[in-house]
Formats: sequence, C-alpha cells, structure tokens
Amino acid sequence: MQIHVSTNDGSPIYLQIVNQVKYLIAAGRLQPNDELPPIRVLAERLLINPNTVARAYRELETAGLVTKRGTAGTYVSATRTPLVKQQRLKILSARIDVLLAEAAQLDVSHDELLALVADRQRILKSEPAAANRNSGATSQ
Amino acid sequence: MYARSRYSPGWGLSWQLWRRHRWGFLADIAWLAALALAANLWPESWRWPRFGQNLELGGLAVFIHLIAAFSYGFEVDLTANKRSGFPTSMFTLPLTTRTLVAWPIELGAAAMTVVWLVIALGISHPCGIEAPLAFPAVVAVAVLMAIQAVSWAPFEFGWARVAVALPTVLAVLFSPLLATLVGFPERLIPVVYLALLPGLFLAAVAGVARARRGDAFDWRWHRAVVQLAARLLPERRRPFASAAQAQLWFECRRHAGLLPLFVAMLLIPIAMILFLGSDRRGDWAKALSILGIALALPVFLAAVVSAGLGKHDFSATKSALPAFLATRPIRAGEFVAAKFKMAAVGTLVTWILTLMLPAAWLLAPGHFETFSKAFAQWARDVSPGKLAAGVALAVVFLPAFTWKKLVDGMFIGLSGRNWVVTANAIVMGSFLCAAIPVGLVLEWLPEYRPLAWRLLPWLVGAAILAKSLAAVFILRALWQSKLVAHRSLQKYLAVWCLVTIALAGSLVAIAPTGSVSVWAALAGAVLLVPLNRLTAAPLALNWDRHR
Amino acid sequence: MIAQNLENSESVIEIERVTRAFGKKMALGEISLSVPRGVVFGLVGANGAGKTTLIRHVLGLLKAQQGSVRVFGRDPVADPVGVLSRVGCLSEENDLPGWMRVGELMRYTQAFYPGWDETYAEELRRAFALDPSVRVKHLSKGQRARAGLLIALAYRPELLVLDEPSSGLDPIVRRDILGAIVRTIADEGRTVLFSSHLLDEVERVSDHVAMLDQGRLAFAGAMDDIKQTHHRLTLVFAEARREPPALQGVLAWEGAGRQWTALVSGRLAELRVAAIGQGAQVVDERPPSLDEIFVAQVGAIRTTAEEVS
Repeated sequence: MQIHVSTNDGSPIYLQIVNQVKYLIAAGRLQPNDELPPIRVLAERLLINPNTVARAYRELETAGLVTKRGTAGTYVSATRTPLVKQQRLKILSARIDVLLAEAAQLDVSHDELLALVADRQRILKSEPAAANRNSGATSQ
Repeated sequence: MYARSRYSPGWGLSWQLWRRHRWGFLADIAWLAALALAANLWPESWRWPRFGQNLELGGLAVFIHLIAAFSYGFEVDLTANKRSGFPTSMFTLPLTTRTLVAWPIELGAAAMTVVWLVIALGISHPCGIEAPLAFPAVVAVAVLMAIQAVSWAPFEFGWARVAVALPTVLAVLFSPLLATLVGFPERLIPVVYLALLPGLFLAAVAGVARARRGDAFDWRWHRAVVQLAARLLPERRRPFASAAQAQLWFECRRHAGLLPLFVAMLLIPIAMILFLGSDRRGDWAKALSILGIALALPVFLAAVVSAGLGKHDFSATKSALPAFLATRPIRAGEFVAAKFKMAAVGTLVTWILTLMLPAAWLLAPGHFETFSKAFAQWARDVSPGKLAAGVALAVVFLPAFTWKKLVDGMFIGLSGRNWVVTANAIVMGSFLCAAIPVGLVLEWLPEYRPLAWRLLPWLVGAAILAKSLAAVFILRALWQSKLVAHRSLQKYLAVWCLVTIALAGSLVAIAPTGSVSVWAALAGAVLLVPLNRLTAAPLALNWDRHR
Repeated sequence: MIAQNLENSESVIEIERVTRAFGKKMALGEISLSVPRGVVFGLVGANGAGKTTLIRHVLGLLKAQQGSVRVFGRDPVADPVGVLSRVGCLSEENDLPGWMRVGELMRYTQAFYPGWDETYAEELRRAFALDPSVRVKHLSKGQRARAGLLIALAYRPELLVLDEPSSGLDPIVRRDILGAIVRTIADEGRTVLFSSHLLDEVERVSDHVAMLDQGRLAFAGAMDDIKQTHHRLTLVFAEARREPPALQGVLAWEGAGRQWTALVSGRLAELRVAAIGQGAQVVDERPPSLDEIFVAQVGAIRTTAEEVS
C-alpha cells in the first residue's frame, strides 16, 4: 500500500492517510477484504506516531470504509457504501475543473471540448494500446 | 594594482607570537630582572657557596619556556597522530614554507641569545662566574632548532615524536664530543654547533613542507607492529558481573598503564646510567644513590600524575565529566572506588617493573656477593627480628605510599573544574618554591636547625588539628549525601584506625629503641594515612556530575 | 503559559518553575512542564533557546537553582541511580569514549542496566551495520550516532531522552533515529522526550509539543490542539493596503497589496467576523505547518518583547 505523508502543507497527517486510503479504495487498488498494514508497521514505515495511524484507522472505520476485526487486523469493508461512488465522482470533478481551466486558457470553446472528449472515447475503445501510450503522461 | 601593505609577513608572525605569549614573556622578563637584582644586590655575607650557579639555573628555566613558546608547543597536541606540531591553521597563509619556518626560528634564536646575554652579563658576571658570551648562546639556539625540527615534523604515531626528541637533543648537545674524537681542535667547538644550524633549519623546513602537503612520516612496519599489538591485547568478551566491575575495567583500560609507562620511560635512562656509568666496582655509593633514586621514582611520579588520573580521561583537556559517564546509573562512591582499585593495580605493576632494576643489578656478576657482605656487616648491630620487620615494612610501605600518593590528588581531577586543577598546581608550586629555600637554608646554615626542630611539634600539631577539622566536615557531608553506602564508610573508618595504629606500632618496634616516642609515631601515622582526600573524592565527583 | 497539569501518577517528568542562569545570562526562566506517560514529547526552539539546558536538568546533569525537577517522581540529582537506570539518553555531543570498540561499548553499558536485552542489542547492531571490533573514534559521525542510539535502546528504557539527535546527520541516520522513536512509543507505557529544531520531524512523531524561546515557554500542549487552534487565513481586501490591519489573535502577516495571509491563533469564527469587519474577504483557510507556527510565534514574542521594553 503506497502511502506518502508530508508535513509541508500543514494538513494533518492522519487526514492525509485517510484521504489516501479513500483514494486507493476508490481507484480499486485496495480491494474489499484486503488487509491494511498493522498500525505499528505503518507507523514505522512512514516514521510517524502510531497514535496518528490509529486515529486515521478510526476515522476510516467511522466512515465505514474499513472494519477492525478484533486483534486480527484492519480490513477493507466488503460492502461498498455510496460514499465510494461519491469519492470517485469527486476525483473526476477535480480533474474536470483542471481541464476546463486549461481549455479556457488555450482558447478552446466548450463545444470543441465536448467533441474532443467524444473523439478520445472512440479512440480509446478501438485502439486501447495507442490511447494508453498517449494518456500515460497524464494518468496517476 | 593594490597598494603594498607596510606590514610584512614577519610582522604578522611576530605579532602573533607576542600576543599569544605576552604574559609568559612578561613573566620571564620579571623573573630575569629579579634574578639580576639578586645577583647584584644580595649581600655578600648571605651568599651560599653555589649562589651564582643556582641563580643561573633559575635563569635557564626561562630557556625552557622560550623553547616551548617558539616551537608552538602550547598550541598543538604534540602526541596527536599524523599531525605536525606546527599549527595547521598557518598552512593556508600565502607564504612559502621557508618563510613560515624561518620567522619563529629567527625570533626564537634572537630571544635565546638576548636571554643568555642577560644571564651572562646580569647574573653570572656579578657573581664572579666568567661565563662566555657567544658559545652557550649558540648551543641554546642549536637545541631550540633541534626541538623545533622534531616537534614540527609530522609523525604517523604521535608518541614516536616524544621518543625521537630526547635522542635528538642529546645528539645535538654531544656532537662536539664526536668532533673531538675525530680530532677537531677544542677551540673550534662553537663552530661545530654553528655548522649544525643550517642542517637543522633544512630539517625543520622539510618537516613542515611535508606536513603542509598532508604527508606524514609513516613507517609501514611500525604501523604493522602497532596493529599486531592491538590485536594481541585481550578484548573483553565476557559480560561483566556488575556495574562496579565494568567501571573498574573502564578505568584500568584507560589509566592503569600510565604510571608504569612513565616510570618505565624514566627507568631506562637511569638503568643506562647505572650499568654503563658506574663500571668501577668500588663505586657503591654512587650506585646505591642511583638505585635509591630509582626506588623513589614511583612515589614522585605518582604525586605528579595523581590529579590527572582523577579526570575522566587523563589526556582530556576539559576535565568536566562527559554526559556519557555522568549518566551512568552508578553511585559516586562506586565510581571513585573503581579509580582507587585501578590505582592499586597500577601501583602493583609499577613496583614489579621498578624492582626489576635492583634485581638486575644484583644479578650482575659479582654484585650480589659484595652486596651481601656489605649488608651483613651493616646489619651486625641490628637484631634479626627488627631487620626482618623493617624489610617487611619497607616492602609493604613503599607500594602503599605510592598508592596513597596516586589517589591523593584524584579529588582534584574529579572536581571537573579546570580552575581547581590550576589552583592546585599553583599551590603545589608555591609550596615547593617555599620549601626549597627552607631546605637550602637548613642544609647550609646549620645554626637554624635547632630552631626548626623546636618548631616541628607545633607544625605537626597544627597539621593534625587541620586534618581532624577537615575530617569532621567532610565525613558529615559524605554521610548526609548518601553518595557512599553507610556501611562502606564505616568499614573505611575502621580500616583507617587499624592501619594508623599498625603503622605507629611498627615504627616504634623497628626504630632503634627509645629514639622514636609513641606519640611521635602516632602523630606521624595519623598524618600519613590518607583520610580526607579520599573521602572528599565522591563529594568532588558529585560536584562535577551535578552542576 | 503553563502546560496542562496532569496527575502525578501519569507524569513521567514534572518540571516546576525551574529557573537557571549562567552568570548573568538567564537560560531558563520559570519553566513548568509536565510530560505524561506514553507520549512522544517534542521540545522545539531556536538555537540557544534553552532546550539542552532543560534536558540536562531532566538528566540530573544540572541542578535547578530554583524550582524542582522530578523524573518518575524522584529528583535526578538526589537519586541518580534510581532515575538513570530507567532512562536512555542520546545527546548531540559526541562523547562516547573514542578508544572503546563497539563490542566493548555494548558489554560495558550492559553491566549498568539489568533490563538489557542481548538478542535485541545484537539485532540492532546488525541492523545498524556496526562492526563490533571497530573503535568508536574510527566510526563516521552517523555511525557514532547509531552506536549511541543502540546503547540507549537496548535495555528498553521507560524514558528515552534525545537531545537534538539528528543535528548534522545524513537522512538515513535520521530515519533510523525516528524509527527508534516510533518503535519505542509503540511499546506500551514508554515515553520519549526529544528536542529538535527540525520541525518536520517533530510534527511527524510528537504527541505533545513545547516551544522554548530565550528561556521562556512560548507554548505547550498536545499537537492536535496546537494544529487546531492555529489557522492560516488568506484575505483579499477591496483596496490595496500598505500595511496589514490590526486584528487580534494574528501572530504573523505576509503579503502585499490586496492579498494578505495571516497566521492566527484563536477562535476561527470570531476572526472571520473581525476580518470581514475590516473590509476583507476570506479566500482561503488551511491549517499551518508546525514550521510556520513556530516562526510566527517566535516573531510575535519578539515583537511583544520589543513593545514591552
């Protein structure tokens, strides 16, 4: 599980962990019933206080994303809650905002943009390899 | 184009030397002035036979200070490995090595010459000694340059420098001997010394140049020997049984070998003098006095190194306890006990080494029979019981006294304050400065001896009073501080009483009947057996540990 | 400002109104702190603020001229054995005996602590790649720090005290030290007190933070509280201003013209209202990093000190 925390922008570390776990679940990189690393292991790996990791796991549990199975560990919830879909849409909305801002800068009109999106969709369906190569720079 | 500075590099280097040593130089000047005044104004009737020579000797002390100052001895650690004795900060100056080296040499030579002229004209001549003006100055300059050359050469192994220094200086001093052997006329001996000077200068330049390049005189075989020795030395593998044992190991590893080393270093020239000097069989007095010096050596050296051994590390410049040792969970009493035990180990090894010299001398062909005959003659008048007791007491007393001298000054080093160490040195120095004239007076003016004899009981009484008062204060402080387990303190006091009584008793028993009164013996024993300085040690350590 | 006072049984270190002066210089002025059990307590401050002095008081190396210090309920000066046998310490000073080999250092230290775990010590030694036959003076600075860390950790002390452990060390050794802190705190009931001026490290691992500035306690409290009570507000004014407005609770201003960013400490709602009252619009609000809080707090203290004097 790839998680990075940074103290640069001031956002609380536990929140960074929560957000990243939410993203990983939403992106499908964490499947239901996958085990999250134990608190102690994650704390040692990230070099942060175990209490912070514990708090992050508590928040995730409250949000219903993970379940704590006694002392066996913490696992991703099997049932997908609507929150996950919401998260997915939120991620896309962020990207669309960026796209719209760039389009405005590059002086591309709204209709041209929509036509471009449909165009790219067609190419994606017919030639997945070519589309992957082109979109490699912008993905992740 | 920049304007040429009106200060040449020579000014800079000279100013630096003056600034660094100005108090020392002023003290030298004051000392010489005092000696000159004494030489000129001391009334004739009060002068003792060797008055002039003694004053000259005092003046020669200035030479030692000058040599140390002009060879930058105060600024560099001369025993550091791979380093030159020349301050490395000066290597980055935009000066040629020759200039860098020439200035301290020239200044030193000038200073030595001036000082010798002052001594010769101001001290020796007024005292009636016809001292030559030029010759000793040249010798002094030669010695200075030799020491500079040796201390500035970069040695791979720092202590090698110390080992090389003595033979070099001796070689320089006795080079005319070689010259006369070859047939050089005696009048031209100063020329021999003058001829040495350029060679020494070039040696100094070569050494400093090498150090500036970053090289050192490394002898590969020498390094291999040191590494082999290090590997052969036992490395502690088993865990320690207790904290006290671990601390004892620490102290022994670091300090137990110091006294034996210093004694051994001095025993070697003494042994050479003994075996090579007194070849004539009948010269017992000289041989015995040399052996006597050898046997007194451990005691004397123990007193010298005692304060340094009290420090956490003998070679450390700062005597404050480092955090690593200060945070050991060990009582101050146990820490100090480890030092005392280490001193015992060191004393034992030292005495084994020291006794090898008389043993070797006795084993030499013919010595033993002559010695035993002389001894039997001397011992005819003494009862065998007293003789055996006397020998036994000497065998026990000398190492014990060495141990006492070794641990006596430890509380100074344990205090961790540099000013305490300096103050102690000053007090000891002034005590010596006061004692020497008194000793000289008593030796050469016998009319004062009865007076001294009458004063002695009062002095002894005052000393005992002082010791008792101090004991009361110190023991009370120690008891309340809980730095030492109460039982240990009680045991120590009991042992002290026993040893004092035993010592007094043996003194009375051994001395020729009636010459030593019981009270005198008891007073002597009370003053001899250490109490206050040992009990003050844990308090000093506590003072250092918690500032 | 006095830190939250917890019950004595919960505090590992209790520092009460400790004052210390070196000659005329006041190194610590009436500091009161309480370090609870089981936390990582970070001590931050500029160089010369008094962090090392405070830590030396905790270790008993300095006697409090006024006030008292209690560690595990005992005075470290009066009872050094009882306190220090439960404390592991690592200082930025390089005072391990240089002549000792690493293996000897381990065996020497082992004799002082009954709780020494030989297998754990060996595991640490291998993890730190320390050759037991090398003398300490031949180790690099980072390796020496690791050796010091090893002998401080191997007996699993209840209290780990680190005085600027990472100063001057490369990032890999710093990771080792942080890892040691994290592993220590993961064990129940063990406490860590460490001082550092690397604030990102302090922010990562500390539960509680105290800041010293020129011998005084600037602030102290739980890390979460501090992060929650400080905010970074970006304000946009209707007209360009040459000077930022005077708002209560603002520690530091930054910016020019119409856009100004304030680092504030206090209740957010009131501050927003006050800002709007000054004719500004709150454009952005985010939590500041400990670094920014630190710089702002020190600046604010200096300004008030100048105003007072």
